[in-house]
Amino acid sequence: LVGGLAVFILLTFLMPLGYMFSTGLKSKEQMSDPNAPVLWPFSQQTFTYNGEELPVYQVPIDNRTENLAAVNRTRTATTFIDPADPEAASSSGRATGARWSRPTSPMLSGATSRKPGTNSTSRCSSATR
Amino acid sequence: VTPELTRFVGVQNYVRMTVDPQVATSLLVTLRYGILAIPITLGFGLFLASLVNAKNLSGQSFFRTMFYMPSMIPVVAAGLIWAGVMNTQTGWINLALEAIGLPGPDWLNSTFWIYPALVLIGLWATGNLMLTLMAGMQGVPNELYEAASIDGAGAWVKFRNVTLPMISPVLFYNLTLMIIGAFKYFDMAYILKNGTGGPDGATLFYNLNLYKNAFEYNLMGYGSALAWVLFLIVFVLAIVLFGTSGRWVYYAGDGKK
Repeated sequence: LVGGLAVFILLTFLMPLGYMFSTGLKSKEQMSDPNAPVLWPFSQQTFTYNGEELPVYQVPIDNRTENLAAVNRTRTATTFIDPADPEAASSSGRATGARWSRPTSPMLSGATSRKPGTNSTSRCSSATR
Repeated sequence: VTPELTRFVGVQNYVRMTVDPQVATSLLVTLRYGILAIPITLGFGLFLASLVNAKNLSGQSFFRTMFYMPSMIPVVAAGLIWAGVMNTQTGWINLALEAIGLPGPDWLNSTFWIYPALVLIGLWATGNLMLTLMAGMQGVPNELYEAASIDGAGAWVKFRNVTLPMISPVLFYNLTLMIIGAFKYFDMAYILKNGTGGPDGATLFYNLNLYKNAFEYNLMGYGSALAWVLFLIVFVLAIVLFGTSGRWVYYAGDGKK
């Protein structure tokens, strides 16, 4: 009982050191995004399209949220494609946050990429950010 | 300032203190923190010392080392770590509270929660307190505990009637240092709030007010006067504390009880 209590208090007491250990594993991007996962190091999901790594964002469209890759980002609008089906037409929306994954996740860049040049720009849509 | 234009200002800096609202505010902030921090820190140190001194705790040396370890972390680093841990969005404390269904407070930006936050951070540096209290506990003769056991005393009664009186000199020593420490509290408040005294003056400790006057507003004379008053306050409190010590501090061998 005393040993268990001591371990529990010690873990609570040294929790800030665990926080710093966890922080030491994170990237600058993860640290600066308040919506990024807190405990473990993650990298933002990317999707390779036409040989270019595109960041994947969570975009709310028609009362649902889809994970879309940003093809073209400007100050006023962003063009998205659906990494799961780049050939399909997508809807407009606003990105609410980056999509994060563990570094070892199969969703990492290149894992689901399509052949370059198989997607046409007409199937992409612009969405304000 | 040329010599022929100078005039003796006497105790002007001290008179100014009586009309400076920041002095009263900073004293109140310091008192508020001290009243909250001293009993909690002393109690926690006592609890830790009892825990790592428990006979049925295996790995005592390991626990003693681990509980002491944060005391060796520089105060600036500790402040930055705790600022992260207490972050409202990504801090682990609020995440843990939210996990059990409790709303996480805005620790460092609330005029109420900033004091518990500072006390919590202060608990991280209880290593020396724990060590001195532990040393005091180890100096209590076993015969007293054996006699108490024969009289049918339980663990709490032995702690209350044997341990506490026997370690009262160590408690007195630590209490004196903690009162002095509370009045010269400065560094963590400066680090966490960048010396602004925020939120809404809640961290404008006496020493921070002194520092700002002396080194930010370049009022070195006024700052010196504030420092002297701080010394007098602490001195008077120490005298009062020493005056009461005869009633509750037990020194074996000198006839006092």
